[in-house]
Amino acid sequence: MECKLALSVFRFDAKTDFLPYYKKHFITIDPSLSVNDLLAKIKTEDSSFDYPKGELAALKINGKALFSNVSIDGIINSCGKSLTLEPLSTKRVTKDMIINTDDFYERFDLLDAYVDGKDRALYEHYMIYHYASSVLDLLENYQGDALFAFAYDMIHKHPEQKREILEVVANENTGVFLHVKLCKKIYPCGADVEKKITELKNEVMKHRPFANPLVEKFSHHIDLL
Amino acid sequence: MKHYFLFDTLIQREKTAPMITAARKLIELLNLDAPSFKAAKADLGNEFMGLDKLKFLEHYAYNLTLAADEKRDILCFEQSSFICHAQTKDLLLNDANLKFEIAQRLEKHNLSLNLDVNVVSLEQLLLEEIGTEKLASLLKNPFGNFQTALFLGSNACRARKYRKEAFLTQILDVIKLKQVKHESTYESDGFEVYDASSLLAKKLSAKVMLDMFDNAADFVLVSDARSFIMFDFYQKELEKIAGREIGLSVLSLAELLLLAFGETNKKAIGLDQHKVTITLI
Repeated sequence: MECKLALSVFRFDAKTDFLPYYKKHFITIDPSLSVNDLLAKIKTEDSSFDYPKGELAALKINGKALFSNVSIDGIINSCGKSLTLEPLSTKRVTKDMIINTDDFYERFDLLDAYVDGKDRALYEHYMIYHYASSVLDLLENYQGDALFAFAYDMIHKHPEQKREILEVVANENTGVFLHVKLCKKIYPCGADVEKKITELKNEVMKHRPFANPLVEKFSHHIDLL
Repeated sequence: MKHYFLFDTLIQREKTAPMITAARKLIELLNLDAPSFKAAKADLGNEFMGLDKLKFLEHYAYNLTLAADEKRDILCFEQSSFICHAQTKDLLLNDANLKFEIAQRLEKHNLSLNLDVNVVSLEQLLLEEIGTEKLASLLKNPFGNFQTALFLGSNACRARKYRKEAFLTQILDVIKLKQVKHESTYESDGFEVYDASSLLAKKLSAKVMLDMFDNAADFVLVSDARSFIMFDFYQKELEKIAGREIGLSVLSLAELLLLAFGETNKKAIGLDQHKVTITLI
């Protein structure tokens, strides 16, 4: 059965606009379809609207980062029928839902020397975690939650590179100890990635000699217990 | 009536003292069998799990075992200690290897791991043991003229696994308190990164406070001791970082209920120990 959604859609063209705005759409759609289908429907109503396509296409709905191949009925259960659609990062938008993802790929370079080229595809699957974190807006050069989840996978896949990988993510100014939980900022749920990041921190703490004074300070906390 | 231990060795007790005072007073008012859990080890916050998971589990398994041996459930009046105890019990019950490892560690303290204990939140106790009718009968100062910004924080997702979030809303309905809509309910209060970067922690916290302030909240209602520390104890520092005055009072559920039930002695409720003055009474 079809349902009617009230949408508030972020619009901005970096080439022509000075400020972004939100355009209202009322769309009737079969909820078993995907968010991709919803975006296509918006496009049929307004041909100037643009959005990312392909397997890794993603956006934010009501503040939650998600890949746009998820079904609409799950979104309705979680967020209701009044939805705000925004790009993954409103600061990096080029056109409507499309963003410049250079910063995301630059973070991969931090671990590039310790992993296979093929591993990059796995990293890309964590893209929504990178842009979901509120730390990204407040801390320049923050390595990002996608990199931490990826690092956890890589220390298991390439145990011979574990020390080097842990030293990168242990960075006291940009690393994993600056991560804040983001379960509620991911759809459907970020719990698995949270577990990986917790385990990654534990691995850093076991790693001696310590990577930096921050890790040493935390180790002292543990010893005091 | 069930028997409880009131878990009141909160994280950073010197900064969370008002929450403790209020919780004790509320327990006394409701005539509950919940003495202070004096032998318990203090709350660390679940950030500690990210540093040393086994030590974290050992720490809370110790408390669970002590309470179980005394045949008392653990009553937690804020989210941090609630999550840590509930999560420890959950993890140990669902992982035999982990349970064995922690049991061995406790044996060194001459304790035999005992998980036959419930971890109960204040909200759950109020609704399931006291009931909304009794709570409504105690109401002397309805909060109908006020609206609060409810802040649950980025840990709410974990707490939700062990208690219904709707419990709190039901209690707020009893005292007729309205809520403002704001987008920061589940954001981080910054506490979790305070030890790594106090500046980042305060920036995160200031952002949340400004959002609640700009949505016309009369005060903030926090469910977690860590949020109380960031929003009340550090509010002056948040103002410096934000470059704006905030001046938003912060209350815990126990404080709020005591006010609603007619308690006006600020010292008895712990309100005199707040950094940000409470102007509601």
